[in-house]
Amino acid sequence: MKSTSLDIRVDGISKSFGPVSALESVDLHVPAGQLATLLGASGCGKTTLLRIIAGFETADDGGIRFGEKDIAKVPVWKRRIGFVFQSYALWPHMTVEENVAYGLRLRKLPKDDVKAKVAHGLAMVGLTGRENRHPGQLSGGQQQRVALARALALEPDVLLMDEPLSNLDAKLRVEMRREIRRIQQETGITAIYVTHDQDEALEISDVVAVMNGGRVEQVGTPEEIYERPETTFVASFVGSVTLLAGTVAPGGGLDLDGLGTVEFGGPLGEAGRPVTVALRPEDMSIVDGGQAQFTGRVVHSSFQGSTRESVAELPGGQRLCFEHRRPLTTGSVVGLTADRHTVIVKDTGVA
Amino acid sequence: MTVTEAPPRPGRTAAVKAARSRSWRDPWRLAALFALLILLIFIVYPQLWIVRSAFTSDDGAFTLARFVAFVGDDTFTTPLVHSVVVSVAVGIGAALIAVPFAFVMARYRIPGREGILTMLTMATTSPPFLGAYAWLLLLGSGGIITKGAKEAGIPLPFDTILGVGGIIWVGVWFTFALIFLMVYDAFRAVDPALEEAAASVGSRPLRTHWKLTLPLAVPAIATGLYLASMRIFADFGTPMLIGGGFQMLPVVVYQNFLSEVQTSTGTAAAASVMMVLVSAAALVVQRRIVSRRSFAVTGSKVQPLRELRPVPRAFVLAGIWITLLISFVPHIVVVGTSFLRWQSGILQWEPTMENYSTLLADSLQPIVLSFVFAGIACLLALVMGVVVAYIVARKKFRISAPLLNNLVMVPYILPGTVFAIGFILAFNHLPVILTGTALILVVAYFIRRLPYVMKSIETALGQVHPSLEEAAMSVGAAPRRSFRDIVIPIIRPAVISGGTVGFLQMITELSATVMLYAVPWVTMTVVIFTNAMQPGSPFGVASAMTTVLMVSIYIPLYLLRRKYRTLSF
Repeated sequence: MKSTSLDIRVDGISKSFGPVSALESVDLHVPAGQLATLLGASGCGKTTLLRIIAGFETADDGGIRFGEKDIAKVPVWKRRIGFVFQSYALWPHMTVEENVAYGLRLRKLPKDDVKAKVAHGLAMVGLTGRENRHPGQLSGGQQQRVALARALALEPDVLLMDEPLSNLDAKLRVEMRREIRRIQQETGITAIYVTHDQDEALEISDVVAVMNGGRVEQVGTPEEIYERPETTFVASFVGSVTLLAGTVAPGGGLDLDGLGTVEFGGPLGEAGRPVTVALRPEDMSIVDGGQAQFTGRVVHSSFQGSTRESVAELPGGQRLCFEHRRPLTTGSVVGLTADRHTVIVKDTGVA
Repeated sequence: MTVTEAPPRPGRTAAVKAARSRSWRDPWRLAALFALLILLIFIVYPQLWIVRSAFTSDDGAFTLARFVAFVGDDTFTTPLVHSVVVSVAVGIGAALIAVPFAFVMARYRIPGREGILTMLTMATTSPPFLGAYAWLLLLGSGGIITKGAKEAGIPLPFDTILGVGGIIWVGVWFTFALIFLMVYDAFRAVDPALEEAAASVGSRPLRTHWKLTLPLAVPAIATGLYLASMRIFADFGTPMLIGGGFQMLPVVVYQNFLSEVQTSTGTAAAASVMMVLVSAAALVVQRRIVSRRSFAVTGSKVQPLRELRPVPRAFVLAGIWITLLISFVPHIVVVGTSFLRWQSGILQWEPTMENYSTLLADSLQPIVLSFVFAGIACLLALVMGVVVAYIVARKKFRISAPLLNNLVMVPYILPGTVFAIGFILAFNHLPVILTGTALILVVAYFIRRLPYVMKSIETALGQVHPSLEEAAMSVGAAPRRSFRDIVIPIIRPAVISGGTVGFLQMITELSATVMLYAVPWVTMTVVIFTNAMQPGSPFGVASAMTTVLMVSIYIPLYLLRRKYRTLSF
């Protein structure tokens, strides 16, 4: 790990565009050398937050620190950031080599140094030998590799990436995100990665911050976010999930608002309290009628290769999503039980 | 930098204030104010003088009489009606030639298409009075053909081309290439999938073209018609040279303003106001058609070029080459006659270089001056164009950006004659005196062509994604540096082509120049015009001068086209 890695600290950042509030007092801490993703739907403020951290936008309020440095008033060009854009933003009039070398030449580094650093950067992203191409002659994936090499050439304090893979096709995206993670770990740079793709976020991050409506809903490791979502929004945005809303019955089970009570093997909380129970499809098992927590009629079943995902309609009309291996016929009655469940008290809507 | 308009809340006033003070330090803000000042002085101020003069009677009191006369007195209504009718007739005539021409060029394999397209581009930049001058030499009362026919005893349907017919004839050939280029692009841009879809529901090709392709090109046709009509509406040279007393507005304005017999500044100003109103109204109509009829038609596929069957192909090729031949008659005539001897206005069929030696001996100065004036004005327009385009496209200044964007386009609807009158009325007295100097021509060229130069740069800037500049800043380039290293190189082709076209239009400018120039600051166009206006004057020298002018247009244009083809991004 690079010894000079700096952590990023965002304190109470707010930003509005005219009457529209884009960010409401956002706090975020990214430990040195880690990769954090800002995950959320379009319009949730994740890109605005990243652009404020980069210095392209000015926050109305709040502070930003890289390590000990307060950089809120430092202009972009003095912030020592590397930025990777969704649109690649390679300069069309420069070759690959010139694109990567531009920042180094601005610093008036000796020619040999520039050459060595460019060669090193291009080797890191696997583009040695393409130095004299123009960006227009490269594929999308290669262009984004050049952009990454350019962002890292100056050995910046932090690496910021704004949906860098969303213009690539699905297969390349998977390959590239592993590449980005590898390079981030090799260089040990602190990085923030903006995406709307939960798979991407779960796979490459040390820390995931799920954003919704200009706020950070939950910050945690990918496992925490997936397995212990704190809000209904987080649960529904990350992975597929069934959310059952109700109140805690006197016996500790879930009272589905008068449509029956489901027991979960232990009390869900204080009786009478409104809660939501989140159930992941892979945590559901098909069991015989007697032991079943839920009994429902299969309304839809789809084959997905390694598994099948089906939907059962409960007597109360709720739809329960579950995974299984053997084929099921639509209309058949099935008994289900949850091996694991998460109780959520904060209802922030669903994605 | 954006300043949010939200009312300052406690706790963030400091941040807002800081943002505001930072934004004032932005050097672009200063540039915007400076640009605004220039536009106010050279666009708004002269126009105010025209309005003032139009509403002031000869003894200095406020009056509406000049506009009342416009309605009642046919010495004014006649030229107004003439101007409008001739402009519309020219537009329609030019469209009748250009639209079918564009269609066959856009859809069928035509041998020599690159050459044909180059010739048509050349045709759009020919000097505005060239056609009138050349057709006059051929078909005027003492013209080469008219005289030849008379001597050979061949009856011609007319004695002379002078008159309304001549204006329309010259106007059509002068403007059809403009419409062609617009409509050609539109036909090329139609997504072939749309036509295939029409065919798939049983529409035959002819019907498809009538019901689908042509309607899709309506915005381009409307824009072309507008450009063609306005070119003739504002043209002073053509009606003056070939009108033979047929009254059109620019001529009336010129005569009322400059004639030695009965000058009336107020009348000229009132006629100017009428001209501006007509051309503004035409712009409104054009905008309305374009906005109502614009559909997104571009697909990813390019229109394939189809093969024509032999017989239609022969007709099409004949049509194309006859059209091109007629539109280049003026060029051929002028170059040809520049190498022939003229004696007291009569052509002797004797080859000679005399015209050129006379030209070099007597009129070298106008050639040099034309280049100097257009060159300086062009540089000014480029610098100002880049600044204004950048502010309009990138900087969201609340007041100055929209103001600049609108003001800079005003000269677009000002005919040269009107523009010149404004300059004379505004700058022949303190605080700014420009009349009689060379500077007045430079400034006039600069301001008149600014909208065109600025728009071409703005279009190019629209293609420079803001993230390209942000990327430069993220690797340590301050804004000024990123503007220089990133923005300027990327928009350079547009700057060069916008500048070249601007230069061509400036060096061929006649309608404003002829009113603004003062001896010794005489340009090529003025020399050609004065020669062409005097019977018995040295036509050969005028032809030689026109040839020089054409060479000075077509060489830059050729270089530009060649450069573009080798440009690869």
